[in-house]
Amino acid sequence: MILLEARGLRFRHPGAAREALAGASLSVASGEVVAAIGPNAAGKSTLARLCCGLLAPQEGAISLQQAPMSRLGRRERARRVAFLPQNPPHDLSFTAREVALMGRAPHLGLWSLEGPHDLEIARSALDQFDALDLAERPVSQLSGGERQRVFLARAFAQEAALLVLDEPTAALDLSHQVLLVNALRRKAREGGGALLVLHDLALAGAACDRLALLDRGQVVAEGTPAEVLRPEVLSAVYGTPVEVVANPVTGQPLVAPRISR
Amino acid sequence: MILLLGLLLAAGPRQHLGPPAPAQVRRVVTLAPALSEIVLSLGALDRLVGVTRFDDDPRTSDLPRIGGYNDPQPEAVLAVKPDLALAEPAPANRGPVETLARLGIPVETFPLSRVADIEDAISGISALLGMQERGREVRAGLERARQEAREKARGRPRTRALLVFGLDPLVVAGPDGFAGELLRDAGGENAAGPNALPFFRLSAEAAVRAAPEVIVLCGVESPGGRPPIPGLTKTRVAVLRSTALMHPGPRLPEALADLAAALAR
Amino acid sequence: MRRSAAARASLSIALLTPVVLAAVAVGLAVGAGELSLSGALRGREPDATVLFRLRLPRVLLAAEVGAALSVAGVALQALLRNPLADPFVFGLSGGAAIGIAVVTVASGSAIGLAATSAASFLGVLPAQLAAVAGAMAAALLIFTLGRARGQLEPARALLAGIVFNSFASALVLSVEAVLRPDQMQAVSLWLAGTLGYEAMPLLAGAGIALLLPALVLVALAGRLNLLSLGDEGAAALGVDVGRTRLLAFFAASAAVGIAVAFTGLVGFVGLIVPHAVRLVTGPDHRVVLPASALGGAAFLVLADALARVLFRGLGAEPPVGAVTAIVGAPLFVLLMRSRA
Repeated sequence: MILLEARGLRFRHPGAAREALAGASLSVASGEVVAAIGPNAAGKSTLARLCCGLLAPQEGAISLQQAPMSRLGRRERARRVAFLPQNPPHDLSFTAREVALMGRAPHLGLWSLEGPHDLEIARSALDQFDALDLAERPVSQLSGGERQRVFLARAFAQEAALLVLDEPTAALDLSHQVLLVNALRRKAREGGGALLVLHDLALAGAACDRLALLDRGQVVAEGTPAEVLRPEVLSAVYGTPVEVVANPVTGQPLVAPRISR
Repeated sequence: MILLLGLLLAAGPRQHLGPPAPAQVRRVVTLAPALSEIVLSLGALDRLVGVTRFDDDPRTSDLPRIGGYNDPQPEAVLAVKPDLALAEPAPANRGPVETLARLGIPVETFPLSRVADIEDAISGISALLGMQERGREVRAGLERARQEAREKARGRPRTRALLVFGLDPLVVAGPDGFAGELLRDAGGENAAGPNALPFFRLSAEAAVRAAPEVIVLCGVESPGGRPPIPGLTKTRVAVLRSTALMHPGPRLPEALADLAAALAR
Repeated sequence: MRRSAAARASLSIALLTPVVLAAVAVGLAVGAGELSLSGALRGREPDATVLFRLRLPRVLLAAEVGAALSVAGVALQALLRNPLADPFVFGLSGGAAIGIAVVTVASGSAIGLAATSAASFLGVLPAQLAAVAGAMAAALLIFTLGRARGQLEPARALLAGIVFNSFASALVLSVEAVLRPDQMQAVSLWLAGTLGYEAMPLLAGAGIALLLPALVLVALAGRLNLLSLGDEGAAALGVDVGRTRLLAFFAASAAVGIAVAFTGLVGFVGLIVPHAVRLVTGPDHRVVLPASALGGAAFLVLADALARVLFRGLGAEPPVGAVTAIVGAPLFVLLMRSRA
């Protein structure tokens, strides 16, 4: 099943001189983890937001599980796609458990009261991200990495088929990055999918089924990591010479910028 | 001072609120000192059962206090079980007065802005108390005193005066309030010019342009060492000894002689 | 806090209801004179009138107003994402003051005098309506000014509200030169916040009228929680951020308007009670809202009882708005320190 289909997206932020996206297309099928990569201002975050319905494209079409985005109500949309922005708020006095429970919001009724089922989902989401011992602590008192894991738990607790995560690993240490990747792969196996916006090309190469390389608002390369992570393509897009070698153990492409000493 | 002026300026007609007053009124509560004075002048001290905390007549010193001008306390009023309450209408005491009426206490309101109001209040209150005869006497006394003052002032040139009730801000009596009317009786000419209000604020500039011959201070102290109104440094200042002019009630005749003396050169 | 929000809200309500009842008992027991409860219940006068037609309505009014202002405070603090917001921050106090001043001036002019003298003492009603109308108009103005790109921007709205309030106070101060001293007194008393004695049917009507905005806010409580994730975070969870803000804003303004029509601007309650409650319950609005309603009711009832007792010997009462601050400030400091 196609979880996300985006075609020909054009978007200009109000008051901006240039278009952020000039005809970008992307899809995520169930079982896939896709990453959008590219230099700054390539339009990755804008693309992510369009795919969640937070922004509306001036041209182009987006659909979630075959339903056009424009026809989906807010809550229905939130049940199909879960979004984690790049810098979630850090001054929350809510506890980790309460934040994880916020992920259940699209499923709750008029009075927004959670039931035991919701409490259990939030608990296991926190557990999945090794954050259960943080449950009663206010988020404002957590470190950057701890906070990120709580927000990831929240995104997963939403139980949406598609996850859209903007730079989810920025604050995470190595073990927790692996934790995230494993959680994503597990979700993919269960029929879900994810769209990640990543700066970390090594992680992109190792964790994702497909990559979309963006440059100045357009998808200039798309395919498996081996197909996209080629030195000539990357050097052109990033404007700096890079080397790509195969990881001796896994065979996955590893990207390294050429820096002379 | 401002509180006093506040009540003195109250505008609103004579009104009755609440249930009708009984034929025999035995327990009266007054919500303003001037009204207590009227009751006392009628000789009805024995029927007065509650006064405001601002009442300073020694005859009322033993009576229970039921609150202030703007904040009569309904509970305290109820506790003295009155069969009539007398009030001066003012925006600030509307709420409590209405509450009293709603609770079943007959309320009569008497504005006291002008001498005619005061005389009406004397008549009205004396009628309520069944003491019309005495009321007529008190009114007559007031009229007599005014007549005498006017006689004494007849034929003499009028003195231009500012009758000052407040400094900083400057508040003066207008020609149409009871203070202004008594000023005229005593032979004065109100320098403050035409104004419908019994008391109003005057700017220092307007005071200078008014060019009074005398500044009469009523209830205010002359600031030591400097003229009370800047710009009128050469004008004679007279201070009223009696405070009767502050109370729009039967004590006004006391003020007339005092005023005349202040105006005399 | 392993309990669900529903359980914690119920617990708060269960714990605070006796507190409110105790406060009401204190409020009924205290007053300008001595009251015999048994006498009052047997119908002895004036005890019965004092109890049922003076103290009871007053205590109920204090409870209603305290609850309304606290709930509005919670909502506005969530809307503006600013813990310093109080119910009057949206220019409500400025607008109400202008309304009151305008009516007071008009009633002094020839035309106004004729109109209000006809009802004279009953002319209190035009002043109250003017205050509420002024408050609502100001709220609408600030809400419009505070919008940028179609969304309410908290910082902008807050700034607009503060600027408007300053403008309004300056206007009222200037009007003072035109008002007679007695009129100014009435305006000042209203601006300081006073609790009077109202008729029970009126209070019952106000209570029912306040239920609607209260229920709206309780229903929005979950969404208000989500607003703390930021506009994007909340939208991504399915919240219609614009509509939530609009509804919360108007519900809060309605609650404040109704309260203010009776009592004038009783300050401090709407600012402090939500904070005090949050120190104990945490930030979840589904718990904070009902707890603040009850806490605010108890607080104002007790503050009013204190106001009535404090100056009893002098036969006067300070305006309740002054007492809320005098009593509330040290209490709040104590609470903050005990939790630090």
